[in-house]
Amino acid sequence: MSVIIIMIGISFLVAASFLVAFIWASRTGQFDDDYTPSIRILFDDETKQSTNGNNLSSSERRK
Amino acid sequence: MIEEEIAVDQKQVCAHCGDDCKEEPILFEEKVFCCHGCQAVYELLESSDLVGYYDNDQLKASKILDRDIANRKFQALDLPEVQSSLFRYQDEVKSVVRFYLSGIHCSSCIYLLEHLPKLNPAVLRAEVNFIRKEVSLTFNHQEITLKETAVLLASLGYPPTINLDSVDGPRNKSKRSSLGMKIALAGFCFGNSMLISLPEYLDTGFQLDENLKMLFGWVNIIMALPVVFYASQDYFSSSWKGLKHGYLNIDLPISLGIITLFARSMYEILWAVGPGYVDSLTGLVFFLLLGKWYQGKTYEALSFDRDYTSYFPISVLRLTDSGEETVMLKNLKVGDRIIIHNQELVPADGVIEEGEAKLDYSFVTGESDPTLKYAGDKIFAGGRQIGGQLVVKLEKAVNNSELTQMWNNQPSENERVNNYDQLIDRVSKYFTIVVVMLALGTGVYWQISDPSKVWDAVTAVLIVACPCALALALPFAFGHAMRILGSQGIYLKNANVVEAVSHIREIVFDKTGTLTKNNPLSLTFNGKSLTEEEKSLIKTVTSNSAHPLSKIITDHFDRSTKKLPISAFEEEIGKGVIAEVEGNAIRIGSAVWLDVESIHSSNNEIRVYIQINGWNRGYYAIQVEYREGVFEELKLLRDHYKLHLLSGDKETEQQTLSPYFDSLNFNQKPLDKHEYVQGLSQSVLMIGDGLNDAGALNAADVGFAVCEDIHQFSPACHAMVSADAVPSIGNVLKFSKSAMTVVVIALTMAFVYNVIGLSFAVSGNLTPIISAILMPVSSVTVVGFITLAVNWLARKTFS
Repeated sequence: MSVIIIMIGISFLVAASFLVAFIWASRTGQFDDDYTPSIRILFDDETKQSTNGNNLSSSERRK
Repeated sequence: MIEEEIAVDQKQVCAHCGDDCKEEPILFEEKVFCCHGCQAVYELLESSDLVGYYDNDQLKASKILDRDIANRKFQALDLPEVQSSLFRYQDEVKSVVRFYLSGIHCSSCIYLLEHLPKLNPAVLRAEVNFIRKEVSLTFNHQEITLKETAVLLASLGYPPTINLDSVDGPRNKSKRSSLGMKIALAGFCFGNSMLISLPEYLDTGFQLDENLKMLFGWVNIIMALPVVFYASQDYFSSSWKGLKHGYLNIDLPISLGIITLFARSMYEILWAVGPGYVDSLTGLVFFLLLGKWYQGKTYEALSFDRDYTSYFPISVLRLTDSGEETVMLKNLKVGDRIIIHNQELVPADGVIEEGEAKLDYSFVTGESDPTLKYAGDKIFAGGRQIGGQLVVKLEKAVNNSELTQMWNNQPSENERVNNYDQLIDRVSKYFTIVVVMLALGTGVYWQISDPSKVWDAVTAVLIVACPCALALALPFAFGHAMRILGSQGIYLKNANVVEAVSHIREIVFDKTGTLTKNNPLSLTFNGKSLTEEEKSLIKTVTSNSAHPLSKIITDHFDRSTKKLPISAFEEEIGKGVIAEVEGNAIRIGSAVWLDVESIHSSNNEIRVYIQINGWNRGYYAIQVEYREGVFEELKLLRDHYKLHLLSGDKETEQQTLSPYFDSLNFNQKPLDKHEYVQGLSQSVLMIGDGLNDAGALNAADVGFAVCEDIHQFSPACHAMVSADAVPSIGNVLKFSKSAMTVVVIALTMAFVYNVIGLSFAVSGNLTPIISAILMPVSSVTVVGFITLAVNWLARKTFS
């Protein structure tokens, strides 16, 4: 039965690490804004491009 | 009679802000711009390779503030006193500042603002918080000053909002994040404690050995400690506060429950009597905190507590012997001489020393006609100067001025709502008394029949009576209601407003801006068609006058209509203008003044008559436009409520309005409105806009502020109503009422559960497993019922 004690110990450690991760994330303000980052990730660091050159350049970038 | 509709043909749209280019568009690189500001931003973006900004379809960049005005506006940012209160962080090179930008409204705004470092390398980092409409800037203060960053933002079309209340201290938001932490902790303990406690509930087939039992007991204790001593702090402090002030709130029975659960669990585990109730305890706290979080969610970007400080600038120019200096508003003293420029607010009462004032008091009184004042005249704070520069000698300090006094006189929070006997308080008062009596009764009974069971039974009563479902019913019902109203364009300050709204018996309406649209748009010319030359003459005259009606007429002309040189111009306030243009005598004004026979005018239109060389050419009819559906709504409302109208205007529209109201009051000054609302005895809902209604909004049980744009300035209120939602006020009232019915049903359900639980407890049969089942089941069913019922009601009411 002693295996149960080990298992429980491990499960607690895992759970507690998630709790700590959450507290850390919350402290550092990662939940303050749940909208802007979703927009920010869509911005390209673009160079000058004409409107009709858009498709071309994006396909080129993919290569 | 020929009517001429205004037709705007071939709008030339500005390549930057998308506005119609009115007078003379500026051509730059084959693109059209409405002003040099817009062109400058375009150039800036282009030179920094950020033209991708314009690819976004949602784009509608803001109008650009003129650089000179911007420089003056942000002058205060050079004062060390202001700087120190605005900086979030500062070291030798870097400074961090956070600005509120009301102009942020779409993803291209984020794009542009976050690319600030590209536009000006002295800005090291820019991060937008879209929800709060804030930008956090890190900049090198050796290369750029705080003022320059503000001007930079303004030149992009995002002038930061800086006024007295943004300087007075940062907003407090840590409360909510600590609540999140408590929920996380309670959730963690709840889950683990359930896991540990599960074997206890299994049948005898699975017998734990004593060591494991001990271990599990100790783990449970470790789980219980942070929940009781950290996560449930608020309940203890709130019930203690309540007790000190002599009333019993809902937190008292909760605290009693938590303490009893904890004490009994400790006893059972430490003395190895039983498994304890730790899983119930942690679960209870977890659910309660969740309810609290749900209720506490508010609209972060909206500000409901604005007073005059939000409107006033933070600094003005003071004239001293040595010259001009920038001085903070709160440091102004009686006797100071200050300079007020065009478009600036008069911050305190004073006497004009130099210059001619044309003050627009629409901001405080709701009247749009500017008041003319000359040197030697006394002027009151709150007016906006239109025209030249003024020198004013102050007679009163800022917070003693006539108008600011009016806000100061008000209790900071509306007492009528706060002291309002809320349903939950009434319920919890009786509830607590009944529970305590029952616990005593149980104790006495068992003392007589079987003294060994006394403590079991008494603690069981306190545990099971803990009003978890009861405490959850209101937060969830109101929280849901608030969200649903939000999707209808009605933003409540907090969830308690739902209850206050459900008690409303009388409704007071403001007229201008509430029932009517803010700007009268429909304009028709009555008379023989004007020739192109006549149009030019009229445009020349009206464009020289600052009167709002003149502006409306000027704006309706095409760009092609030329302006001519003017040789004589005189404006008589409240009457009209006389002018001479290229030898033509032109008079534009009211019928009485021009001695024109006024064909009986209908009620809700204003007429401006035109006379050219003594010949009556006809008149412009400017219609006051009521919001769509307003009258139908008023008709419906009148069946259930007493309706009042308070208007700052003259009685011209009495006939149109009288069938819809129980009482009509015209010529109401802000203070009159305030007193009128205060004089009403029943529960009053005041619906208004603008600062002139601020007093009345505050005096009412519930104040709704109507806003064309909810992010713009609005007076302190309990709810902001977007302009389109005005005709559905009736539905809002109905919805809040039925939401209250749902709450009552949910409370009844909670009581039934409590009676079941208590019957176990009183008979001394409450085992941990019954409590572990009963508590979550009651909470979940009550919350589930409320969610379904409120959503169903919303569909029924608003579809």
